[in-house]
Amino acid sequence: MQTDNFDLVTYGPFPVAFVALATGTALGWITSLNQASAVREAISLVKGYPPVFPIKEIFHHFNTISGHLSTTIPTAISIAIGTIQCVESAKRAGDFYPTREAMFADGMGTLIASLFGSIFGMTSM
Amino acid sequence: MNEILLIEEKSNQKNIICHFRIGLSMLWGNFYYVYMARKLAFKEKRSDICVMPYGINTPGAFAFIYVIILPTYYGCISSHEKGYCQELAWYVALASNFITGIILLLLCIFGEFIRQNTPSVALLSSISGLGFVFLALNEYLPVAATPIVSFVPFAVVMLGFFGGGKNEISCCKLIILI
Repeated sequence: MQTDNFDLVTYGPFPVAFVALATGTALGWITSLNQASAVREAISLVKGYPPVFPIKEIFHHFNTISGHLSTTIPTAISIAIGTIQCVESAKRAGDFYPTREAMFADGMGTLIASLFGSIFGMTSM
Repeated sequence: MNEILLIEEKSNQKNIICHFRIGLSMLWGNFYYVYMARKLAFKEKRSDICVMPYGINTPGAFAFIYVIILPTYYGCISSHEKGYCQELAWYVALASNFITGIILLLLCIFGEFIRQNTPSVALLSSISGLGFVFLALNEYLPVAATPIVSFVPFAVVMLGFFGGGKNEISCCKLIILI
């Protein structure tokens, strides 16, 4: 795809990312696609959230999960397969990671996430 | 990060749980993957190792939100007050996520076996489909939706990426970021 025509384009000392972001932001405000109220709403979300540690409640509700095993087990398997896919694709590109270690990182990540109050499984994407 | 924002937005709309603590596990996973990449780089004496990406499992997140949280919440709301139901749905999802983590750790044992005995085309086809849809098409559709804003930056990115070659790395990052 590298053609002579494209080679003529230079942006001077600025990185391409900066030029693209600056033009995009400027055009967004000029065409009033960006709204000031959205910025005000977003600012209210930006604040510190203290960590929680709901481990007692997790084990208190452990008897409720048996009905949801039909969701959790396929989710776990899909996460595992996703990691295997990622390892395989990295291997094709020349970087061979140990599969077991990558999957261990996912499992530990999910455990840490659940202990600190996140409901999402972690994976390599 | 885009995906996290999307999921948080969806959950906020459902008004079930206000915010999730993902940061710590993101920190753990990404640092662990960087450590793995450093180990590999040291072992093979190369400096062009690409770290694997680490983040939330999107299908799993949707499964948790719509199959676990939603039925738990709406099954409880008729007989209890709202705050209690929100907490209950959260705790049930947390316990389920804990079990998911344990199953994942168990599946570690079979991971290498599965990888060796599955044709790599079967593994790569679904991940490439995901890449085209989520990473390429999903990012391009907003660009096409507001052409008056997006086409100039899009052209800038394309020209910068396929031309010159000096700024290739920052350009890659930008496409992923946007």
